[in-house]
Amino acid sequence: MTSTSFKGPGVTRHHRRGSAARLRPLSVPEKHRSRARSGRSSSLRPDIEARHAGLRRRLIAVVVIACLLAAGIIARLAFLQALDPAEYVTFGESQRIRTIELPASRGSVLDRNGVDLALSVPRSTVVADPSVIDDPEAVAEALAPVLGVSTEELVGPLSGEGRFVYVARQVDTDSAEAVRQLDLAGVWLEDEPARVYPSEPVGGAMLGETDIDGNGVAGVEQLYDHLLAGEPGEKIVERGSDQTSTIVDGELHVEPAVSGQDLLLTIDQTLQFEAEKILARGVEAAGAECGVAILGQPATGDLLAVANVCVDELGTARPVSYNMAFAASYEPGSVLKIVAAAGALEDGAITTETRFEVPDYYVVADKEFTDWEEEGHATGWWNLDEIISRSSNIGTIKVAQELGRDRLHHYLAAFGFGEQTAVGFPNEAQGILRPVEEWTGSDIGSVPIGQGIAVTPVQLWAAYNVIANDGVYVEPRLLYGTVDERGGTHPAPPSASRQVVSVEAAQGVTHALQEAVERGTASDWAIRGYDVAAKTGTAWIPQPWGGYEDELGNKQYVTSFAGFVPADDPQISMLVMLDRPTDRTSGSTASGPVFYELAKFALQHLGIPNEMGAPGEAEDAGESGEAAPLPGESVQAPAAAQPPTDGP
Amino acid sequence: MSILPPPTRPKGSVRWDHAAAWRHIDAVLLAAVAALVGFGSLMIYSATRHNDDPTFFIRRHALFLVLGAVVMVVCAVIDYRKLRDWIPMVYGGITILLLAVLTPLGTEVNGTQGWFQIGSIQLQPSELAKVIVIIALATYLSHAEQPLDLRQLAAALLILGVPMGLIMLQPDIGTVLVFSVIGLGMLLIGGVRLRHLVILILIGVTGVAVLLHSDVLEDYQVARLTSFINPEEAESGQVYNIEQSQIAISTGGVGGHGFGEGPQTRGGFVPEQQTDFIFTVVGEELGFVGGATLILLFAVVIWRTWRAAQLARDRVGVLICVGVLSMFVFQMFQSIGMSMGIMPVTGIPLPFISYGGSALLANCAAMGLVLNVHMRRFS
Repeated sequence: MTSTSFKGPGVTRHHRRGSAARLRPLSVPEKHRSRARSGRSSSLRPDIEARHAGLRRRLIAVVVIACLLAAGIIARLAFLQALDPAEYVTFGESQRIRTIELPASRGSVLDRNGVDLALSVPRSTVVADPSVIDDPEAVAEALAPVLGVSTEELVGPLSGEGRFVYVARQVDTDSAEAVRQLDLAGVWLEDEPARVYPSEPVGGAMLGETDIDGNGVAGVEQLYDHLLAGEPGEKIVERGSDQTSTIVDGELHVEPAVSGQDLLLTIDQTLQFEAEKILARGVEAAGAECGVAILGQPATGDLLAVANVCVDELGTARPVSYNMAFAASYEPGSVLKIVAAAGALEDGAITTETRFEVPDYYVVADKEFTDWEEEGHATGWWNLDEIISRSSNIGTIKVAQELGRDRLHHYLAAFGFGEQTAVGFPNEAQGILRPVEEWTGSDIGSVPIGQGIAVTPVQLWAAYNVIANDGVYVEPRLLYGTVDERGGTHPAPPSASRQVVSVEAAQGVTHALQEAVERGTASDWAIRGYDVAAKTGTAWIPQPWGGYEDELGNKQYVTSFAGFVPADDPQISMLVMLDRPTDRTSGSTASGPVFYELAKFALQHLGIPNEMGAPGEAEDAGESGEAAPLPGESVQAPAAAQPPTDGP
Repeated sequence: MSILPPPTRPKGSVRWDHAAAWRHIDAVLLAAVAALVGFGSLMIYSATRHNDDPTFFIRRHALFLVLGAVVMVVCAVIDYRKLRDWIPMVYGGITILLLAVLTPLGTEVNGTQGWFQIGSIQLQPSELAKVIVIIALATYLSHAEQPLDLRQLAAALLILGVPMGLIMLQPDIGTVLVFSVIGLGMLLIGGVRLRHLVILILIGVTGVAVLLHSDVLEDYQVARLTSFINPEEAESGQVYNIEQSQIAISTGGVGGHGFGEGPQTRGGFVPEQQTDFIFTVVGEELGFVGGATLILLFAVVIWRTWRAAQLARDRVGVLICVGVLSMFVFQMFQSIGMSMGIMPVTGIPLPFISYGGSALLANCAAMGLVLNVHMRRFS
């Protein structure tokens, strides 16, 4: 080993290469010096320092710059993460987090016996992502025959902007399967329920409909949308940058949908079907334009059938979607006379024995009134039974004059006129009951006989229920109950009711109405075995320019027939209204047959015992006189025409 | 003739040389680098584990880590003073490689012709060129007069400029910027006159301005470089990267979402996340605590490198350490700054954290050189 010639004692243990030793003092032991260097001392080696004195300064400059840059980064990091992260955090969440609505299944609508009236069925909807479709024409050509539409109709949406279009909504199972078989890129199927009405068009005006998205937009579907719709749930998921994949474990929150409730309506589907059928025949027979028939239970206010029928362009009367029973107002005419009568009895202004001198001609203020009977009649002294059963205008006016206009107005309002019923049906009218301050001198003559006042059919029907219910007004009701998920039924709360007139007053009017059926204006339509209380009404339709005559001097009619059966314990009440009959123009001849046939059917269907105690034994009884029954099939043999879903 | 007895050692024991260079190895620097490598491996795994092959990147990363360790040992063991004998040849070699990569031998990735495809692995010569240029420049400047005269300055700029120019042709703006900063740092320490340095910086800035307005760069490259200044005016595509990366970092908050739990990372919103935007994984999953820790680890590396420069035995050692220091400081600042929207988007990997084999090898070599200089400070 040829080492350097001289070594201090401290370095003897160290092996080092030749040239290294000359650069440092030999007296300092290496390990000590090493410790010293790694400590505080940072001076450069003397040789380097000698060659460039500025080196130390420049090295410090380098480290200062490095520190500044690091500080800048830390500051920015602190700003982004700790001081003001909200903007970017919110931005990030908005692009990652998606809320997916979980649709709630819409409840079914059933009749009071559980027959399906409206229900949602699973269907498939064909949707597409146009951004994925390279050749819209080819895709449209493939889809068109399957979906039964023209190619041109599909090309537009398929070649549009965006990432989602409907191609065909709620298609049937076969079409959906065919689309699935095609297996087109960018076209897929989604589940979407469709609303179907098994008995369509029966009860269409009552049921209404939903839009394509399942929102109730008319009728019961709209009225009870809040019950039927349920609560949509939602699923909050975190998605990746491709927007389709969900990040693993990215489901943050699930709120399941709450299904809509199944509703039981007060409607009886069989009666509804029959009501529409009979009414249609009645409308055609009377040559009317439209007709309304309301059948219900007076004690509960339940609407059992609400038929709306109009004649189409071909002259056939069909159920329509316009619910005139609630939405139409008309001048009712004589059917309204019960209000003045009941009020006068209640106030003690008259008794059932009070007799009035009833001439054939009478002037109230500036207006002349005549009695309805065309031949006129000799002046007589008539009590209430006779006034009502003969439908005497002048007698009723005299009764009303005893009552006074304030009290008459009071009773009209108490009977429910001038405001919507508790049903609150979509587009329900409130009728026109002018405040008493606006009444002219002659109104005490015209209002009690149903002129100068407009009512809805359902208001009129409810008013007759007051008489049937011994003076108690019961709000009409459409909701019978709800069905929970386990199939348990929950009855709807009973309708609100209020005593409007006393039992005695109501019974006095009932007696007069019975008289009308037994020997008065409604006598053609007595039902054998049952005591019927009913009243006819024949009103003129007021013209827009005032008065009741059109340009040719002709009058247009609205005929009504309202009443209840049996008179002593009313089980059903009914109003039949025909709009603009031309062949039969009186309440008796036009509306009477409908009342008669529908009442007979309902009595039998509901098993209401007759006076002999035998249920449903109603037979034809009133086919004497001028009135003709409805042509066509007999109501006794309706089985073949009945809908398949007959209630129990 | 020795007047002292020859060194005596206990009989039968291993020769125990207390002066051996490896005994002065910088354990702190080694530990910091090891921590960074571990940090980086976790982040790469987190950024790529939702890919179809969740371990593809981390497997390759592990392979390069082994290679990197070998390179680091080699670079540390060979006395850096012997490198001067080899450096002309190595410099020539890398110049040829940088030329070759521009020919069809090279492969284009994301618009940059910068890789050799060798089997299943890609090699990026520009990364290796950084270390070689540091050694070459250090070697040259260590012999130059103080301060540098113009001829020497020109020679130094030529050593720097040849690989820079070739890399500009790829084009790879980010790496060119790294070279510029390495050059600045080394010239500063290598004895450049300050007025020359100022002029050089002015020329550089003017050159960049001209470049941005000329047709040399593709529009998208210009847009990337400038979009951080006016994010509102930039095209949405250019803003997207910066937005997504800042969302990720902001989302992390102070404590982070936890390893593997970052929603932006899991959702794959940040592009190039395992490479240039790796810091977003740190920011989102480890939060400010993790981000600051990472920067602290870099600070340790830079401190030890600076310390090695101060302790270096000779000017070559000082210059090598300063070159490495400049490279690390700039790459750290640029890569993290870019992901936080305060620096332009240029594809610069974060040393030891980003996925990328060539960069890892180059960084290991650089660390090996610093260790080399440090442990030979007495010999």
